[in-house]
Amino acid sequence: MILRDALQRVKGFRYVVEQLELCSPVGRRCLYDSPWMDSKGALEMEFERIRQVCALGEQPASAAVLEGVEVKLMQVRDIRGTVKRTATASVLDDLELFELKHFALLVEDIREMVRMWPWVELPDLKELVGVLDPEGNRLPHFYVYDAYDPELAEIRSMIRQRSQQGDSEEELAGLYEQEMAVENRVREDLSVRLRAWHARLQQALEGIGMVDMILAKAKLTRQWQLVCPTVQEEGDLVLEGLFHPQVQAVLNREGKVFQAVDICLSREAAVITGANMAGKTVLLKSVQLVQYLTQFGFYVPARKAVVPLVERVLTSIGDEQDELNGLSSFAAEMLVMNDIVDAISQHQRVLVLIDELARTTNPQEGRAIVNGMVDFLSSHRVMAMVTTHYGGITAACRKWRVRGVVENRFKGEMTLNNINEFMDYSLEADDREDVPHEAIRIAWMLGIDRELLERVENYLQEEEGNSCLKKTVQ
Amino acid sequence: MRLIERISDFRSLSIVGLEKNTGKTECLNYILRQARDSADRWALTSVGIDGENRDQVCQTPKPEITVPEGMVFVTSEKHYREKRVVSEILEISSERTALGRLVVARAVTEGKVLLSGPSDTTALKRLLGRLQEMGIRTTLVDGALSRLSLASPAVTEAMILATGAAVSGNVPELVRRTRYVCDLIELEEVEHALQAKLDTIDRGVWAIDEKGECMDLQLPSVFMLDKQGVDLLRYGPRLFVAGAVSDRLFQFLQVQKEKVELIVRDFTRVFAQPASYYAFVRKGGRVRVLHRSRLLAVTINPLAPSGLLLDSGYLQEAMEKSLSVPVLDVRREKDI
Repeated sequence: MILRDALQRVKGFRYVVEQLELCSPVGRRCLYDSPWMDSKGALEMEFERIRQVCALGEQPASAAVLEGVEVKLMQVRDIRGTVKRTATASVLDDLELFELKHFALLVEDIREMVRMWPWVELPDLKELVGVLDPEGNRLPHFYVYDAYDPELAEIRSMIRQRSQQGDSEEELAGLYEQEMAVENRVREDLSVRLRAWHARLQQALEGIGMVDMILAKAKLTRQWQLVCPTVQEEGDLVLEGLFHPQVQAVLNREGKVFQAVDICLSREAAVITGANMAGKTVLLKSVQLVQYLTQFGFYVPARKAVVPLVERVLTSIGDEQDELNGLSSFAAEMLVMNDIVDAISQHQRVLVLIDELARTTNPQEGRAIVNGMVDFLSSHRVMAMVTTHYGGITAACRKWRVRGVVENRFKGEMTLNNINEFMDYSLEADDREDVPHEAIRIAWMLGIDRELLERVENYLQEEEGNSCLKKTVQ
Repeated sequence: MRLIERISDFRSLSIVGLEKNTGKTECLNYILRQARDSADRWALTSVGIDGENRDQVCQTPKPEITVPEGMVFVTSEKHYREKRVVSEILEISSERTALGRLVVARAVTEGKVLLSGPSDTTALKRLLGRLQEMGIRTTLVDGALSRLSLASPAVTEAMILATGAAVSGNVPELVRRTRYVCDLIELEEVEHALQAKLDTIDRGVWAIDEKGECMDLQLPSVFMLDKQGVDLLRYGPRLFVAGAVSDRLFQFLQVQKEKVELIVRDFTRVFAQPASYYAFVRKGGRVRVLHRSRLLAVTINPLAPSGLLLDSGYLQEAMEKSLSVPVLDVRREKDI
């Protein structure tokens, strides 16, 4: 998988990528083509580059260099097509020669500015600049200069002279033709000489793209105070002070604060329960985001992060499911479960994230499905996270509960607007079998129709009465 | 003062023809000859495709554009490859047109070039700004007066209108039609605050109340006036039409009790016959624009593609009587 594909799949990840301030189309391409990395070495190298650039940003002197490099990067165009053509036997035209010269000059400028950065590898294009700048004025302009061929200078001065004498265009036609022929000869010759530069130009494009990408990643790291994840082949996923940048941005805009949470996943299913609106889905998405960011070589939104590497992240999150192919939401969900089971059976290293499994069917069978899936995940020692509203999950797993509404956490009455203040989004270990019953309370708070809710409560009391009765009978 | 000196007081000038074959290109070449001595301070471009060797409609020979040595010109990739001038590429803009990216180049020797330019108004504005940054004092724009063109020449500070026998062989009629377009070009600009507000609106019909607030009248097009049965003037007598204004609208507004002020983007948006426009004005109506170019001169071409040749002196005199700007026949003028 490359980053471009991941953007379609994970909205939160796309949000982060969209916030990157890339300077050039070359940098954007480099980023979009980045592979999913599952080698510790490669990732640590990438993180080290980001760390070094962040450190440069701390010092005013080196920060000025960074800014200078950005200014140069902004002038870089994507000349892949032209670079490709330098490998062929075709004759390059003035526009292409201009592009190459413009690019080579920028590469030389940037190379000079970053010569102290050990991780940047840019080829030396000084000689190439010389080829395209025979008059040595180092301006990013181009035409077939007089200096390329003594004959050219001669014909041109003749044209100039005779047109000043008032010769008509027809009279000069012959000279123009000669001039054109010499120009073409020069272009052919230049094209042949440039062929030797193809590999280095290619390398320069990649190098420039990489510089742009790392600078953008580092900038975001500093802006959002992201942290470098400790990557490992095995072990637990440990996240402290985890936050979701997109949700945080929305809350901040409303003058609210995002409560960062801690979570630890081991090779056993973690079942998360909690009231509605307690942030279970956001938590799941945050974990997913951290895994994606880590494996595409980004720092992550947490205070501390230990991230075991996986080959794939398998998710079932309701709002991202494709329900257009004629399947009911339940059927679609079950097929996703099947894919997850398949991948695990093939011994792939995966992270499994499932939001409210089997919520679209009856609670009795739903609970059994959750139990079955959790059982499967735990017995295969898969790192997994499953959220649910069902009580009675008895399969082997580690249980967590989002603390949820805490009375007196905030003054006043709880409303939709201030619910954030009453909620404690942190997790606590939980070995109970029952789940929080706060759905109706939250519905009240949302201002749902009174008549409806009173009817609902009547039914609830009736049910509770029945279950008390049963208990007494027993 | 010579025309060329007046032009160089402005940062941009467009030359527009009232019809095809009214001598627009000759007028441009005339100015270019005048600008030869200070060529490096000038730039040259076009809106849309122009500079074909032969006129696409009438197949009459069309003078090509001769760029003086040292002048900057902007054209599309396609036309750049076809140029017959030695020129140095200064920049390739990322702006795309139907004929490829725009190339900014400086003529190393005098020579001929086919001009093409930005395809919409905002791109033209950006280009004019960029050329100014590059140290160009005045940019000449080979303009087009066509409802097909998305790029309006009215974004240039000044304008020259080319007219001639191709419009009409009847001198009084030719003068009337030229006078009408001159009147439109010279429509007054709205106040600055309102201009900024309306500039961002690209569709619909809007009312502007006394406080300068804009209200969308929810009218998809002025062509649907009668069907709506709504009172267009319920917020007051000031209207802004983002798109084109036709005879129908003028006729409709003319019969209203109130004296209407109609605001349009620029004069190229008025597609009404002179009769309906003047009738509206006579009833006390007023038309204003967001962008106005200063009209510097009108040039005349007494020769029509049909072969008809009018008397240049008589035509010039008749024009001068009716217009308040200098009138010149660029083929005869040696020095203006």
